[in-house]
Amino acid sequence: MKNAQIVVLALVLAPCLTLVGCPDQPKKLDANSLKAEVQNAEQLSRECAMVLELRTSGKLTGRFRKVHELYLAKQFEDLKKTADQAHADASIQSTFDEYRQKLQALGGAVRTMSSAPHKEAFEAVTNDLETLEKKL
Amino acid sequence: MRRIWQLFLGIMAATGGFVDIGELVFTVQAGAQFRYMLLWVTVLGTIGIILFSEMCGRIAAIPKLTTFHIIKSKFGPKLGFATLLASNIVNVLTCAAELGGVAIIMRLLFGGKFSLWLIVVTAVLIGTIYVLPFKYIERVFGLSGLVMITFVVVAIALHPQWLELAKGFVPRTPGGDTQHLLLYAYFTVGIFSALLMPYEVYFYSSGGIEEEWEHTDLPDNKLTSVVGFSMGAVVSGALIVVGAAFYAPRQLNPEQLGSSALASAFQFGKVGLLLALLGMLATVAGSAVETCLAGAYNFCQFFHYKWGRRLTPQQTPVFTKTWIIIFVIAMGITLTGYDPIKIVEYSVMFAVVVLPLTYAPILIVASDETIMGQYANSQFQRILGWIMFALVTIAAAAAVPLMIVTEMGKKG
Repeated sequence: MKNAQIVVLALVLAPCLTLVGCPDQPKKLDANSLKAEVQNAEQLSRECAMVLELRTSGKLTGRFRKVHELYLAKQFEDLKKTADQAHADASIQSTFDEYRQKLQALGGAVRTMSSAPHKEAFEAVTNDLETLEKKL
Repeated sequence: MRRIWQLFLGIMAATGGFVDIGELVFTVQAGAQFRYMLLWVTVLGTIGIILFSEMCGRIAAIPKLTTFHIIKSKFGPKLGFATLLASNIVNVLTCAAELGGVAIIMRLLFGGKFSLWLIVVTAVLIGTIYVLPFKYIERVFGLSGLVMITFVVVAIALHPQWLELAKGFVPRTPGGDTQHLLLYAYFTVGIFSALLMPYEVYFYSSGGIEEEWEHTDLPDNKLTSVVGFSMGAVVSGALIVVGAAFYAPRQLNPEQLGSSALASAFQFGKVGLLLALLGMLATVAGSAVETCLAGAYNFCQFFHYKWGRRLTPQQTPVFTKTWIIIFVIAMGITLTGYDPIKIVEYSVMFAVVVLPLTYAPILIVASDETIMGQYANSQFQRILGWIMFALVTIAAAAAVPLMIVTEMGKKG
């Protein structure tokens, strides 16, 4: 019975502490994990393009668009932070460097999303990232 | 006539209050990643929550016991206390995620700062619970959650592939490598857990005591569980269909709450967007209230303090302080800046770890003829209950490893 108590508490408390206390660890990227990061960036780029499409067709309220764009920008910052802190296996270093360049282009498009919406910029980034994904 | 009307309202409230932020997050993403393949999990999870809620309602009506009375009596004070602690940690985390979700939605609707909305929303919910009797708390949030039917309409309007949709009710695994299979397993456990969150049975059973159910209320209990939760499950299923029919073909993976509303905007413009957001607001706010009250119910039932919103706050000082403190702690967790979506992903997966400890005592007591008399589980209910318990235990064992290997559903 006592062991059961300890198991229950450990299973629930440990990840709670992880949630609160564990600092972000630099990521070691292999081909699979880099591919996952590239896919995350692609999905973000596509969603930004979708938001611009809906904005152009007048289907979003002004407030929703502004706030949601802020959340998308935050999502980009998380991707960028992971990429900045990560280091890649030697075998995929050049692909990782290329990914970071594409991420910069994505960042530029995200930053100007509100003031100078440019759906084609996101479509171009998405195409580039898809090409990169095929290398992995 | 009045009784039929009350029953109808109860069923509608159960329908509208079925979905919470966990389902909003897991089901739409599941549809985006695996199309219709996880619809069978909503059926399985719904059977589970109907089964255990109906048992809880019966236990509340006949021996007039609540879930934590049973847990303490069956497990003893020490394991019972460990279960209380684990359950309430999950309740507080879930409440934090729900409050954060409400603040995000208010921001998407009206603009403004997240932290300010969080404080305002918490204060409004505290005020609402303080003032309203239990029946109105349940009805206000449950009925307003019916606006989530917007997603059912959106799902139909997106012209899903009906044959593929039908196949989704048959369990099968996706193709692909091991990592893809593990991701599928992660979403299976996630959706299953989101449907069976323990706070739902804590709230349901305590609600039965609050409303002073008797044996004459057992048919209503059955109808509310079966019809209300089945209709609620249609909304959950619709979220998967929206994921499959809108996000998957566009290779989108909705990671923000606002992203889940884009499909409605695409189909129906600003009206669709606003209805989707209002439905999400009502259902998430209702879940924040349920998780908070469930935590307070658990604490007071375990330590035998007077509890319940059928009594005045002056008659239940410990209960009143407990639920207010839970709201404040939950608000504090979200004010740290941690993403509510990430909080809910953790809380859903850890809730499933606690589930066996919650459901085993319910099943044992509901099957015990010395306690329940003629209202004990039938043979069919016993068998189904133990099968469901076995599935819950498997999910509990798999949850944490799946979280780790899939990096919280990011790796597939």
